[in-house]
Amino acid sequence: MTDTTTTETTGTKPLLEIRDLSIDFQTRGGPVHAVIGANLTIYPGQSVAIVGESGSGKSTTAHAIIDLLPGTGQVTSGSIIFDGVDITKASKREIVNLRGKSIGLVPQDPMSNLNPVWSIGYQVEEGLRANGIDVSRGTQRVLTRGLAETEPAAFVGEDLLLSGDAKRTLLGLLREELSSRPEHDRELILARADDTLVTGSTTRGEAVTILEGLGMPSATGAVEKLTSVAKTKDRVAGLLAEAGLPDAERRAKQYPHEFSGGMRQRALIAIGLAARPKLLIADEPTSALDVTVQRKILDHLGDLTQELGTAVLFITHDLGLAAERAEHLVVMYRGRVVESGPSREILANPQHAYTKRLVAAAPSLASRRIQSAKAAGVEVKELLAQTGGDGVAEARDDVLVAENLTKVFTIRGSGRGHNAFKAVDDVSFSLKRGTTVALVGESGSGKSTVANMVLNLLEPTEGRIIFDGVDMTSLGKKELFSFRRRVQPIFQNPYGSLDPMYSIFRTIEEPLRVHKVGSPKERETRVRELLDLVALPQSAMRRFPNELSGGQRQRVAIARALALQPEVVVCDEAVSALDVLVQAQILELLNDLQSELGLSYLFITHDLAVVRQIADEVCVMSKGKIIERATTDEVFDSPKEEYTRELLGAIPGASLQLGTEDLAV
Amino acid sequence: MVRYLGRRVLQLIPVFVGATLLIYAMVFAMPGDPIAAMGGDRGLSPAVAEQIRAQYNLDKPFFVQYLLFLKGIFTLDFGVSFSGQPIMEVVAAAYPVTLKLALMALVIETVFGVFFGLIAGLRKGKFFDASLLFVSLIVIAAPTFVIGFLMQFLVGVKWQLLPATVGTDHSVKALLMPAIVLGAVSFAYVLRLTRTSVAENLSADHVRTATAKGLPRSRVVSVHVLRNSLIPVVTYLGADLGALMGGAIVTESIFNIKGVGGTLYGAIIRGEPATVVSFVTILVIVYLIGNLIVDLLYAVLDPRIRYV
Repeated sequence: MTDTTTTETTGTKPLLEIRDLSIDFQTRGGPVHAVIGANLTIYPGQSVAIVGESGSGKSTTAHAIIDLLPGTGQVTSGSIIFDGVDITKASKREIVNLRGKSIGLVPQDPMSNLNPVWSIGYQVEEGLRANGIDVSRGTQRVLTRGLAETEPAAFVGEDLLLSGDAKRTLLGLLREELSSRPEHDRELILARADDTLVTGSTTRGEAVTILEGLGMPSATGAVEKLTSVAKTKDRVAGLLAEAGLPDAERRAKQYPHEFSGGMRQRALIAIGLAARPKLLIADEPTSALDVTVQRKILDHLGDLTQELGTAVLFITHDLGLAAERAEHLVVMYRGRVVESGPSREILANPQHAYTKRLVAAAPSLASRRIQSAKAAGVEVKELLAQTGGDGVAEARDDVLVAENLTKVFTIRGSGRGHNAFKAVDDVSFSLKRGTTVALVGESGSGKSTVANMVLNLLEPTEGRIIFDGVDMTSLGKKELFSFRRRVQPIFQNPYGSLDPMYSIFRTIEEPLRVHKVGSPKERETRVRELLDLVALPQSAMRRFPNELSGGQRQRVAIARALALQPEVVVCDEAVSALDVLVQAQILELLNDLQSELGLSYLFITHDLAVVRQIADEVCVMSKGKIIERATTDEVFDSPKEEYTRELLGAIPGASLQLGTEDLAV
Repeated sequence: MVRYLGRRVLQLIPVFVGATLLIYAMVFAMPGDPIAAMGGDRGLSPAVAEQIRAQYNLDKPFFVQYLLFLKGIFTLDFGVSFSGQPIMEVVAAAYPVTLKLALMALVIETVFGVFFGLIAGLRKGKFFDASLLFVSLIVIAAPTFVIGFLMQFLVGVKWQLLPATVGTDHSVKALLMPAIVLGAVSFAYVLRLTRTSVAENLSADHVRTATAKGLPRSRVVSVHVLRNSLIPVVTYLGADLGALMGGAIVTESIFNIKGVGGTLYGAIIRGEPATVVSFVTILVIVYLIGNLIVDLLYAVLDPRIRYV
């Protein structure tokens, strides 16, 4: 399929043009066609997103653009024309020249993409030096010229860049100048100045303009008196500050392990943009981060690239995110581009069957749909019926009650003594029989610790858990064993939670065997039933986990959890690792099983979009505490806490205007 | 960093005390009476035996003997051997040459092992890699004395490129061949370790990021692959220094070097507890210092360790 639309940029020459691109991977079983005849066009300054599930070829296409195909991957046909050069035919040297300088990359996983043994600043600086941007040397040149002409004006010169010291001096002077203003105003103006004066990037001439604009008439004189000149390290700090890293000058000296995931991603953005490339490839840049951090970083990336006029190619599996961040969408499915066009158009009117399913299933869009439907007066219950949720909780007894749960961990302090860390702080909630309670929060909010205490894998420091009227802390070994039958977990990673050496049959049968349920014959019948229940073929019994897809594995994990007919299932991020379509299927399955078997779910997740599809009641956790607890509708319609609003706002696609006419999918 | 260093040094103390105590206890428990053996067939008169016992502190309880021994170490006075020679003299004759030999072997195995390991890792699965792996397997499998005699015959006798034996000439040239023989097996291990580590690091995500930055391949390899790959190699080398010194006995006897191995062997055969304990104690000290250096190199190579 070719581009149906070239939007408003018609007339200008495309920056990147991919034509009929095919990529194969050589394997023992013959070549695997990862990309088949893909077409893609990006104009200068445009933002384009490739959307697809894992294995659709979206990352492979992106990596081909900078000639970084992993392993045996090879372009078999087609062309990638970037700025007039065909990358598939370019020499090694030409490609090294393009990388970083013309095409930047922001990789997927911030935890593994920085070298742990070099400081952050060094890794940014490398990107500058490799592409011939040496601020120190440039500064020297300007200085020599200034001295040779013995013109002091040269020191205020247009091309002399601001150093860290100079910036501090100027900010100090500005503070003095503003001393008569009220404190609140002053701090605001200073923050503005701090943001706009970028060390190693803003020239002294620009600094004068900026400072005068902020109400500092003496700026020219102050700048003229500055003696320190920008070095490469100022530029590095400036780049990191631009990417939204606070206290960049000091932070640049630190190592990756001292950074959080969000901060590392900012450093990677600084690296990707260091040499001011014309095209930035952002490969799932935030999928490893919490939603609120994700939003901040994407906002920042969007502003920055727009300011610099950089074209951006997003690679993502999240349709909501793609539609919100890119003007143009390219949908890939099994190696082929199945649809492309302006984002809004594709969202409102998907043509291809796969895109239709994608639009229907995207959880971020689903919750938007409910909200816009509500505004239009459509009953939410009807909508939720699509995914099988029963929506309203009737008055039922509490199967599980957590009272004042507190968990304190002692962590090894830096040097002397131990520090106590309160992971969970006075958490109380109750789970009604046959309903779902969702615990929502970012990583580090203590939600998984609560799950582990409910599963009795961790002992609470204080408080108690009452299961079906019995205090669990009073249980003996035997009673605990039978308790485990009634509360079962489903964990996040379907790859890690199944023993690779166990056949599917053995995996599902194991809990039955451990609890001595039935004869071998009866157990086999039960396993068959369970496979039917989770919609897996009975033939799957003889297979091993590595022969199944992620979604199938999660079905196996569900079957195993249900083997002992539990009353409560604790789902710890049970669908977070899955592609959207599979995610929707698994949520539907969980919903069906709930109404069929009367299960109660404790659903632990960081994804509010998923919550809307499954939960009756929501507890929002932050820093170990439950800060808001209400029914799902209440939380979504009238969140009381600022933090909850922030979480809701961070759902990708929140800014999209979806009409109610596309509700019937 | 200073705190890290201080902690490492403090950790040496219990290890040192534990190791020497253990050695002392084991030698103490050796069967047979060395004093009685000194008398030969005629035997010593009880008075003379008593006098010798007192001279060597053998009449005192075990712990007193051990403490006297510790005191001796710190005052660099190891006492005298049964033949009347101060043990410090024996140590001074044997240790320098073995230490020189071991360090030469260490340098040879490190330089060549890392170099060839790096190339093999970069060309994993290619012909060069496969042939290096094959050669290293042979080196590991062949006993030291086979390689030693073979080299001695070919290089020393037939082609006369290097001296065939060392004797009293402890120059670098004379020790070169023994050092190659001594370091051969460790070279093969260093090569394999480096190769695996490099091949693994090459496919690391951060290496791809470095490439995407626009760095030329030579820089990606030297800055982002090699440094990270050296961490496991350094661990191995630290442990290896001790093994080289203690294990030099075969090489030393082939090339006629009067080093630690031969002297220690003789002392054990003659049943001279004081000499044995002194030699082994110094080996322990060398080993501890080697490991301290490794810990420091570790901190230099990997910033994550500095703060632990």
